[in-house]
Amino acid sequence: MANSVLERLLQKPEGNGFDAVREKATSLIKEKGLPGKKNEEYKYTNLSRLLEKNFTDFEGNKEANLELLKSKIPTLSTIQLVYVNGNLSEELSSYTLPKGIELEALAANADSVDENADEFALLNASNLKNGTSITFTKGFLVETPIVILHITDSSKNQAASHPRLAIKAEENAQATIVELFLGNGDATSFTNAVTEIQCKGHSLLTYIKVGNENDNQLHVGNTKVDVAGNAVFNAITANFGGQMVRNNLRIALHESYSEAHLFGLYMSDEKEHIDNHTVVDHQMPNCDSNELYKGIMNGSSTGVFNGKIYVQQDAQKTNAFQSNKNILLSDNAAINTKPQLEIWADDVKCSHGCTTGKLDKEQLFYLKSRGIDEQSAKTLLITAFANEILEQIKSKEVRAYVQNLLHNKIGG
Amino acid sequence: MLKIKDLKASVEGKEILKGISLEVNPGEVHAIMGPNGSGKSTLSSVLAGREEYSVDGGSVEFLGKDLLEFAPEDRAREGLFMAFQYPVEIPGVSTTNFLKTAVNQVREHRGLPQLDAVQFLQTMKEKMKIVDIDQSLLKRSLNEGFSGGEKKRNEIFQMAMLEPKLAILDETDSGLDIDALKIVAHGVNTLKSPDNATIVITHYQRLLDYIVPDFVHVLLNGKIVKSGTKELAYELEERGYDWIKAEHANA
Ligand SMILES: Nc1ncnc2c1ncn2[C@@H]1O[C@H](COP(=O)(O)OP(=O)(O)O)[C@@H](O)[C@H]1O
Ligand SMILES: [Mg+2]
Repeated sequence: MANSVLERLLQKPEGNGFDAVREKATSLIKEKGLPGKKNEEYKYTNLSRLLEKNFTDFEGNKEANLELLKSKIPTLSTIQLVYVNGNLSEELSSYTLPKGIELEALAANADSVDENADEFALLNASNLKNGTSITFTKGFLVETPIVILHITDSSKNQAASHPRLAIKAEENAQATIVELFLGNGDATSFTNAVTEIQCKGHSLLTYIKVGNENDNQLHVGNTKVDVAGNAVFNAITANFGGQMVRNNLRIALHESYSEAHLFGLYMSDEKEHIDNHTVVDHQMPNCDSNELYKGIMNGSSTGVFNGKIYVQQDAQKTNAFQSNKNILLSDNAAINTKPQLEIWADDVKCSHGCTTGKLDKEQLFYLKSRGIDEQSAKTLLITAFANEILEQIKSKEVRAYVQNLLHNKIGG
Repeated sequence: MLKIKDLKASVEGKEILKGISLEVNPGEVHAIMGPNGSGKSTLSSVLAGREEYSVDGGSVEFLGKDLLEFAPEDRAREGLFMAFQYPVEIPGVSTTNFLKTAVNQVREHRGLPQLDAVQFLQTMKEKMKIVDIDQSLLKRSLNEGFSGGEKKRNEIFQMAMLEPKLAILDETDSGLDIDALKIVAHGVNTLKSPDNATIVITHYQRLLDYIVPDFVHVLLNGKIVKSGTKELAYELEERGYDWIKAEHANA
């Protein structure tokens, strides 16, 4: 990609404590460049051409975003934090935090910039000017899900945002956190999010990422998770659109007896493209991981699923399971699915599998023969397919919200 | 009610129905019998509107309308019901789940008010008694892990819920023990009225002891080769199909 494009994306926000972070990340990403076609990791998701646009800063249209809040997410009673184009919105956030949560500005730490990080994570760091750190404090059980909304507002001009969030579940904490990505506006926009998660010993954290962006939006999300001993990390990633979406979810089980459960649901239509790359890195013995991603592709949309499982030499007694299931609703839709298992330990149980098919004709005919129209019959079957993922969302409010997104997507 | 005239149908280029004519009037029970592969399921599938079958000739009039013009869902809404010989499994979709949509779409078509959740449940409870089916079964994924008898009772339960004018029961008796058979037959007989009609497709005469037909037709190699009353069924039970095959071969 042209150097000038990268140059533009690297426009430095006005200086503050993040100067050192930005400088380091900037020199790293300049060296690497953004991934193009030849990059194996991004060969199906080539954003470089799409990023050849002028993205300028825009603080967002408050009225329009307030309207979006009210009309599009009626079932979520509380949204604690709202970011518009990467900046925390004082007006739109409710800040009603239950006990057991600490909210801070992200601390600047240049050492945290990892030269091996994903290119887009580096790009995020090179634009870093603020960020939020959320800590679920030791021993607390937080029952209410914490909802964080990111609005990428391109109603005035092409907007890019680079939100960054750090989430920490301290020892024995239990919580659910939802990151919701919505778009507002007709111009192209680019959301490049980084979320870093730490699960300390014996904690239980559920992280739900929901993307429902417009078909003029590009999205890259890098979620990096460290899971300590006896902790359980659940991830549910649901995407219902965007011009080009790429989720990188990277989980390290770095102490014994930790668990990760990864669920994904994606539905695309028209020319949308949704790419999920996951990595589960089993570093220590007696850890379990279980992964199920399900996709529904319509129109001439495409999906990508790439699931890597590493079982390191020390990680004996690992259980690692992975499955990817897809339904293609049209002849022009496609999915590229690829499991990658690298196993260096000998006493492990691993399996993976993937299926891709169409809606079952016999099932459709059965439902229609009972008087149900074609569209409703399809909806019933797609919903049944998706429910296996949706029922993983324990919060009724959040589940209802995601269910509603799915229904709207099915309805066209 | 149903007028089939010289109906010809094929699947994958293979001619299966070779000119079938049949007339069914309100209040009547017709039995269609015939050896395996004679085209019984094909006939019911063509009537229900299964897409992979192509109609190559003839006509079907249902309640004065051209049935073959309708999509499967409209046939159901107009009052046609088929109990499947092999009901399909649908993981994640329960009977209760899809029947609510089905019943209300059918009612809308017939100009009847929608049933709310309470009314729907009430109707279910009434109809459940007819086929002695348990509510827990209706909440499970359709036909997944159902026994043969449960599948067929579920078919008749759906028939009760949808209140068709014409029901086609495709080998609803096959694979059932005598108790299950009696329950299914009892269900069908309870739903019988002077306004509706039933076509019972069966391999054996046994079911016809419980659902007594007014007419019996023998389907052979895609054609109705013989029609009669219930005595014909007894004759078939006793003598098998070979004598008809021989008769037909000579004809
Ligand atoms: N979908 C299909 N594809 C190919 N052949 C079929 C199909 N359905 C039925 N047939 C053939 O048509 C003939 C009649 O089948 P069917 O109607 O199921 O008979 P019956 O119900 O009387 O046993 C058989 O030879 C069967 O193999
Ligand atoms: Mg048959």
